[in-house]
Amino acid sequence: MLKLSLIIICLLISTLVYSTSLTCITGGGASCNEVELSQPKLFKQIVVLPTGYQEHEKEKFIKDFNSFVANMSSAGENVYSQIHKDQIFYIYKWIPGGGMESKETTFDAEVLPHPIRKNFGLVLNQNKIHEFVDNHDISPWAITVIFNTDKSATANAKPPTFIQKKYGILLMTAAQSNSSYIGTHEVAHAALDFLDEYVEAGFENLNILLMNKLSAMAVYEKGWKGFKMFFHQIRGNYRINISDILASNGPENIDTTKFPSRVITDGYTPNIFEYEGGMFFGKGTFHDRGNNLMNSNRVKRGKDDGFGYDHSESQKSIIEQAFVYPEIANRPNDRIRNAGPVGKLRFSIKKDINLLLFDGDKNHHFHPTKSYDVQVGWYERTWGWCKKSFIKYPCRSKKWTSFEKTFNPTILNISLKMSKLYGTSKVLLFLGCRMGVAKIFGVDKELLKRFCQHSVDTLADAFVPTLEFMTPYQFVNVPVTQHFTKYYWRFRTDNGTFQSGWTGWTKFTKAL
Amino acid sequence: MKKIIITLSLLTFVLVYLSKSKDEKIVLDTNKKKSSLDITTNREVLKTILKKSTKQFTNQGWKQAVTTAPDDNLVNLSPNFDEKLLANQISSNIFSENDLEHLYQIVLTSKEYKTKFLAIEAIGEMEGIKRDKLLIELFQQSKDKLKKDILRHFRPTENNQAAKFIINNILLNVDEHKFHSDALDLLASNQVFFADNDIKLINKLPVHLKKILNTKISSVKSALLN
Repeated sequence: MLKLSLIIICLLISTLVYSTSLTCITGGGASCNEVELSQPKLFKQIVVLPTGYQEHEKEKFIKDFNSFVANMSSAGENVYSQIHKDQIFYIYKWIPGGGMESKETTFDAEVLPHPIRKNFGLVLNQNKIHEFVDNHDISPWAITVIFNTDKSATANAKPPTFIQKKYGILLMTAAQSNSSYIGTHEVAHAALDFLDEYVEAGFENLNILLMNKLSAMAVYEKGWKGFKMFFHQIRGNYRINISDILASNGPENIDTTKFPSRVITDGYTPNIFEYEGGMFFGKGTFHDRGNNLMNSNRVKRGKDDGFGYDHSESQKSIIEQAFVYPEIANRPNDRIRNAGPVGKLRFSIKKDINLLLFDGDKNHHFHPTKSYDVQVGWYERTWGWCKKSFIKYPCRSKKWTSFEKTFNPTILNISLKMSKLYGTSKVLLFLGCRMGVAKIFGVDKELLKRFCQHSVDTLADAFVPTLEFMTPYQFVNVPVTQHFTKYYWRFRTDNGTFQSGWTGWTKFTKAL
Repeated sequence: MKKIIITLSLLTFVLVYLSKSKDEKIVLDTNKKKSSLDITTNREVLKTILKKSTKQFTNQGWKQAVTTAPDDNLVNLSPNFDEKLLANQISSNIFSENDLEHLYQIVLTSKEYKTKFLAIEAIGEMEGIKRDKLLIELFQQSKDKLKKDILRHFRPTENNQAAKFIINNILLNVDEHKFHSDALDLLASNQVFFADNDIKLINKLPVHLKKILNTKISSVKSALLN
């Protein structure tokens, strides 16, 4: 009885602490409703946290917070944060710490020289943010950290898919809380999982397909398994593309093809991405037409390929899903294809073979794939006797036989080992350091600092890190037993709302 | 003894021949071939074989499916097949070098831009000399919009076909001036990304193009490497 009373008292105290330490207002300026706070799928929580603010600077932080909310809520009548302002709850918690120049900043935040642009980059220890979320009764849609600095720095955001969390993280300076563009653009990364549709200066000529030269290295792991995958990849049996991992892996406003729907789904009209460019690269990536928040006017392929306080049709569809129908997918997970093995003879002593499925929506933030239906078929050889007139002779018939099974997705991460091989260390440095700090990847702060302070020429294998990526691929094991048999296979996805169409049948021949 | 070996060899040969010829013929419609079979015997044998080959599947939780056998004309990318289904087949699969010719034919013969685009993408994702050769041929035979899509997939490295073609047939060809900028982009980014690929043929370029190329190279370098 005493124990029970103690537990109840503890719960009451924790509730009191929660209610006193977190402050919440809606985008419309109203105070937050407890019932709505308990429905985070419909009422989105943006948690705003300070860093570099000292004990006596609480008023300044609250002013910056209010400015951020006001600019988000009045960004433009076509912008998600204004249209749905009453559904966005802005929650802050005052956590004072050391000043920005000190070593005691909240979340170990720092302002570093920016690797691409001629100003500064914002970094912090992401694990401390995750700890904060775990220790509070919140379900954030996005975490915003405001840096109390006067330095001119580039705001950045990590989309939830890239940090493998339910929320994204965005970092901005106090001065940037006054900007409608920075707030709405970065929250779109962190909460809506949008990627940039603009092309970074100097990257106009770069084609994301160049990255695929690294693909064989990407699957390289230690041991026999790693060697086997490396071998299959360079032989072309399986196709793992770095370009797909970067630009066709969850976020859906960018893809590596003009025709993102790879399969036909009855009743669904697929989208076409008319314009080339995005995700930094000038070439090899594609996005939908329509001036919008995620684009810029630097590279314009058409009149409606630029910046605007607006959204493309592709973006509108995701926004509608997020705010209006959070439980229902807006489209089938149809960015799929069979990724191997290809039609060569497969020599396998074992009685099974791995199929590789590519699914650009496997890690979709709003409607990840829930299951895969895989079908495998072959012509069963049957020996019997045939007759011609009165002559009997042995002959064979073939009967189409097929099996199916439903699989649940499993996480498949790959490691991109920095290496001097193939002269690609420059590309990896670019991926890990330049892109990591600048924009998107959830790379650890210490790793970035260590990585970025070296030039390519001074990098040595001994201290270069391994970059981890969550991939849009899924292995499926198939128990094929018949030798010298041509097997056919295909698959489709289910996201809880839609079943996608089937991929085209593909074949491989099992030799031994 | 010799006779037995010869008889057995002959029998094996006949069996292999029969199985091979059936393999090729009975692809699309197996029903027509069944009429002369001894059905009773067949069923017995079928049962035994089915047990063996499907046991592994059922043991691992697979269920027998009701599906129509795929049309090999579609799987093998016959260019005359229904274009909508062909597009679906191309966009949802990866291909081997054996499929290159078919994809090449599809680019040439299909009516829809989408199908052509997807077939070019599929060729572009592959490796090897044959791929480069076909891309070059396609570039020469295509209209402007498609030429841009094809050019994107060239991978110029020192002295390979793609590098030679880009320099000799595009950059040194006034008729292809529309593609000079794209071709120079390609050379620049390949040079910077994979610095070991110093393309010596670049020395053949006229001064004004070399100047543009160098500007592009510096631009990529500064963005990429600072």
